[in-house]
Amino acid sequence: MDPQGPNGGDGTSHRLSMPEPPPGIGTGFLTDYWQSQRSLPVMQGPEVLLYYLQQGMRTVLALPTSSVITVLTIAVSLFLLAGFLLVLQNVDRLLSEAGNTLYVTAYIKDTAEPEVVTQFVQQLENNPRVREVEYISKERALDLFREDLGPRSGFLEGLDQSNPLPASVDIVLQPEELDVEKIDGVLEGIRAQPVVEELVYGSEWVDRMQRVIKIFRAFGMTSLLVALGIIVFLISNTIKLVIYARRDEIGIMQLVGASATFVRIPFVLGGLMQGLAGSALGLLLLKGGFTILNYEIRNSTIVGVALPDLVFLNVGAIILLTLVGLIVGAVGSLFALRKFMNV
Amino acid sequence: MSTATAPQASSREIITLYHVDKLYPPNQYALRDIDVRINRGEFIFVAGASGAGKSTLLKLLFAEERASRGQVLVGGRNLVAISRQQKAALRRNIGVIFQDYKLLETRTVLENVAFALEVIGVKKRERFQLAFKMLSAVGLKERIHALPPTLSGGEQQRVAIARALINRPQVILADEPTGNLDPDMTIAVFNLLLEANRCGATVIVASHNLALIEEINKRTLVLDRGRLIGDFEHPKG
Repeated sequence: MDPQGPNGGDGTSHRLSMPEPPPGIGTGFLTDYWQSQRSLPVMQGPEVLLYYLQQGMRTVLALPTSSVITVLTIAVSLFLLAGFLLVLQNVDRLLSEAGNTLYVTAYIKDTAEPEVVTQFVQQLENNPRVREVEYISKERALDLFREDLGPRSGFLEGLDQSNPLPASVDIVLQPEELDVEKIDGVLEGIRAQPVVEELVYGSEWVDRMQRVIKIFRAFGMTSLLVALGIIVFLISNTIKLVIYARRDEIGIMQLVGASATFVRIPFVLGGLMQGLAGSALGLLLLKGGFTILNYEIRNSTIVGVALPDLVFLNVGAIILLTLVGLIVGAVGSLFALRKFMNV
Repeated sequence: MSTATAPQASSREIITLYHVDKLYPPNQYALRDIDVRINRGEFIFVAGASGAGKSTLLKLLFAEERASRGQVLVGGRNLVAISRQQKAALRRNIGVIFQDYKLLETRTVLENVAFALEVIGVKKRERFQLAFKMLSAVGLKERIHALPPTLSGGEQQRVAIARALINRPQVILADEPTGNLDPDMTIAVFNLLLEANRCGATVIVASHNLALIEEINKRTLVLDRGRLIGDFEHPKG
């Protein structure tokens, strides 16, 4: 079809011969407009973008109550998801810290020459697999023992001359050396030194902690994916209800000649806006809650001493969670629209 | 079953219905073996009692419904096999006046009329100016900021008419366009449709108002229970 109508009609000029129509109706504008054949100016580039943004905002504001419900649903969902991630991240950190610290004590032979011992300690300090080294001399070992015994240390009187405690080296290994496969090799290397009398460590503890961490991470990842699935379902159903309420409008737009893209873009942009607002609100609530909780923990005499500082989500996780909100908002709108796009 | 070859629309023809059936499940024929050719610039009434198939016939012409059999050609395009994109393009060249108005309830009267220009990307100032003039032409310039639910049936009908005409469409389909109007307003609306027809638009009006059909005395298709039982050039003679 041509964009504009042809001229002429069916050749018969007809005007109803009944009474005159009410004043002000049929002013002759129609004929002038129709026959002018002038093309109408259309929106270009940035105007189109601005138009769609305005329409996106309009879809959000058209049903304010529904939009608020959608934003709150996204906010609560993201709050729970991010909160879950935050707990996982901090528990993982605590477990890793506990599981990544292996204290090894190498007892030194009484017969060892001081220069050889010094050389052994220097070797350990230069060893890239070792994080910390502390030499405890025989005298220091006795002092520490006295400190531990406190007022009951009297029976140690006179032991200064015949100190039975051995000198030792306390060693902390680098966390990456704590793999079950690697650890034995590292320890064997230390044990093989001639100055070493005995090596004491808790490798079973490390082994067990490493396994706990692996299980915890697998559980955490699975639960996170399940939570994400539930949240996507929840949000998309909320959006579906909102779009269902506007199905007539979507149908009318198509009947008047709106293309599928023309109908979809404002709803998708509206979904993005709601997703962004919901994510921001959810994460802000979480940050507020986290700050209060961390403050309370720091000021608690019991828990505060036992627990290291809790850490909030890093920038990457925040961006990822915001993207989840945005994508769920936009894709949820797109899927919900699908059903009403065939008018 | 027809074994004839596909219809060849002449350059004068804008609408061709070729042995068209419309069957609603399970076994309800709304239209049966409709064979009609309509030339550019014609003014046509589709008459018949309620349930005769008038609305269904109009719905086939702007692809709201799809024919169960036969072919529907509008502007040379076969609507039986039309894509979503082509359907939107077709509708931008057809002004439809719906029996139930189909106005966007959350938009003002002015925005509703301008919407037909909005979907083709016309600039805001231009579309609102034209919508205002069109609403003035249907006597509604005082109500431009009202929302459709606050209007009377007759006023909503006129908004729908203004929206259908604002695009200068090649084809205007009107389903009982004066059903809710008083006699004076009915005349005004038909004068607008006749004016659009004189400007070149092909106008098809579904109506059961026989007095009006006789008065205007244009080609009239008569439907009865889905069948075309009459095609009168001038019903009054």
